[in-house]
Amino acid sequence: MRKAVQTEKKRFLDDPANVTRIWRGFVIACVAVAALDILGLLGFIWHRHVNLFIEGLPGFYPLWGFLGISMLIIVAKKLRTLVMRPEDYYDDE
Amino acid sequence: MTSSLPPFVIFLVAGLLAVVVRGRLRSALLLATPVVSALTLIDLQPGTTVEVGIMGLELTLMRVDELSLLFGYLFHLAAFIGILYSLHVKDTLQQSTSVLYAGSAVGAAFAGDLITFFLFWELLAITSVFLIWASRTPSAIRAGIRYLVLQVGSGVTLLAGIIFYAHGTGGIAFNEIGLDAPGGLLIFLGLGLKCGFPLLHMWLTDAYPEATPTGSVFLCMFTTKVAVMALARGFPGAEPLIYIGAAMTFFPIFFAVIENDLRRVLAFSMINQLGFMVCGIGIGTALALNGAVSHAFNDVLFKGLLFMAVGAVITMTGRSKASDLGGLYKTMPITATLCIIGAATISAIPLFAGFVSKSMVMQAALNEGHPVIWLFLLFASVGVLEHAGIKIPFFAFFAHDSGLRPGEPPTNMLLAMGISAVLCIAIGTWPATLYSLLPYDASYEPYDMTHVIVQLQLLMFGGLAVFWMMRTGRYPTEERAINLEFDWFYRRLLPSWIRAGGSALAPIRAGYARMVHARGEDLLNFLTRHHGNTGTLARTWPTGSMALWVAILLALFVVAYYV
Repeated sequence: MRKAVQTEKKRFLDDPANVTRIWRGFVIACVAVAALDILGLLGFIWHRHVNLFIEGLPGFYPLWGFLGISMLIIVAKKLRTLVMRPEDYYDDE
Repeated sequence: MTSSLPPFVIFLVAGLLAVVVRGRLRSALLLATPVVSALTLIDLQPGTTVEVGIMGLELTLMRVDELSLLFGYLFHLAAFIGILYSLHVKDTLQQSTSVLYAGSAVGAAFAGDLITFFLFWELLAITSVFLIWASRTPSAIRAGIRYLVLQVGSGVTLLAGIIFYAHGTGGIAFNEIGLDAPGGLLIFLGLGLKCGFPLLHMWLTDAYPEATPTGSVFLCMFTTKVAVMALARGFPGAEPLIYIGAAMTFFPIFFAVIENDLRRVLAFSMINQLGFMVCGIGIGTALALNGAVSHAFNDVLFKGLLFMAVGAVITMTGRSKASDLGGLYKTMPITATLCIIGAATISAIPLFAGFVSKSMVMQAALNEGHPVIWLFLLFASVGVLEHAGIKIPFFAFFAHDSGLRPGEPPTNMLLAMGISAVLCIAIGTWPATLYSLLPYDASYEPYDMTHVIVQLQLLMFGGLAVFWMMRTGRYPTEERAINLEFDWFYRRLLPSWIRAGGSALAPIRAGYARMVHARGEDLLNFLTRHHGNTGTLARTWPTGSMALWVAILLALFVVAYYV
């Protein structure tokens, strides 16, 4: 299974510069998708229909997604201090 | 009524036959089972029943309606995918029990009365535990025992509820039960355990990661989906389910973020997805119930696909921990692609199956005036993206290079994953076929401009947060560690209480022992005094003294005689 890694050809993703390029492209795509809210607000191209007031606020979904995940990860890291144990914790059963 | 053969019979016969046949014949038999059985489903019309009388009970072995048909199709499809995926495994124990397990699920889906349902409910537990034990490691054996105890506990609770219900209502037909019915709460809890209700869910995250790589694929497809179907049948619109479901979507995602074992991440993710279904059943409108059962249908495909992808990684590398994996895309590109399709589907990206089913539950929550629940579900939806959508494929196939260079898994595994992946995209892109199978009467159109755009915004910014945290070092590192979960209460706390109870009682025990000992010693001393080495009754006497005594006695006798 383990082979000498050094003889392999270099992959696209092995170059950090390429990863950074993908990352930048993704950020631009995110900004573009968020910008659709402005078009929706103007009723241009698409017309937004909403069930709740806050749902209709521009930027609600992007913010909920970004802050939701950030909160999730921060809380989960705190949770580790409470519940993390060595792998052999239950070995004496 | 008709002479139809209940479809579970074919599975049970094949499962038993699999023990005696070998090699290619067994493979052919197993693969043919769901196909042949599915052919018998084609002619089935809603309203068909098969009844038998046993011991004075009129049992409805098969009752066909739209709900049972949907789950019937689903379990046949799942059985076929699972059997194909595990075709390379040469282990009689697993091959036989996995088909029996699938058959139990089919039987439960068509069960028309509560007694029949209970029998299949128990059979699910008994057949599935072998898929855990088949790992044949000490930890799997122990996890299997814990799993079996809780599963059978669920069955006992269900049976108790059924007895109250039958006694109170005079009927055993499996229709809407409701929480207020006699025994309703017990039935509810019995079903809830196998559905992964919070604090009753520990068996799932404990045992599924211990199963064999192919076994966990079967496990993720049947037990919990039978429970969802049963809740949809027995407790539609039961309000507590809304809150139970929301809690189920919420708490596992925090554990999933920090979990190192990828199969355990999927187990947490499974509770999260079940939460959406349970919530939908609780809302109870036609749209919500359709959402719940169609999400159960899709979950079998996408969660199965993710378990299959991780199972393929375990089969090829022997590892399942995020900290030990990474960089596998270089030599397992097909598996990586299929895994990403599963991840995209569970994340509910438009054009993938998760999008067209989960959104029904979300929409129903809004329609019925549960905005806070809706916000919870929306948060949980982004959470899914983090742990199942990104974490699973990223840490297995990308992340840091582990140096492992395994090849692609056997063809049958790739084919099984391929079928699931194609269905994930097909259902997501053309949802009309799935919608036409749904049992409740509600129309829903997932592809509307607003819905697609806001979903993309939600998910892309969720992804943005994850990758931003990874790039800036804020993301929690993969630790070679375990995280305590609620099973700690019975694996550590309870045993320690029992031990502590033992030591608290120790002085009393010691006192009692002292008393018994002292009494015994008194008795012993008494015996020693009289019968011991120096005791009066144990002294040795010279033979002469005996003769003297005999002479004295004789003399006394003679004197007495003459007097």
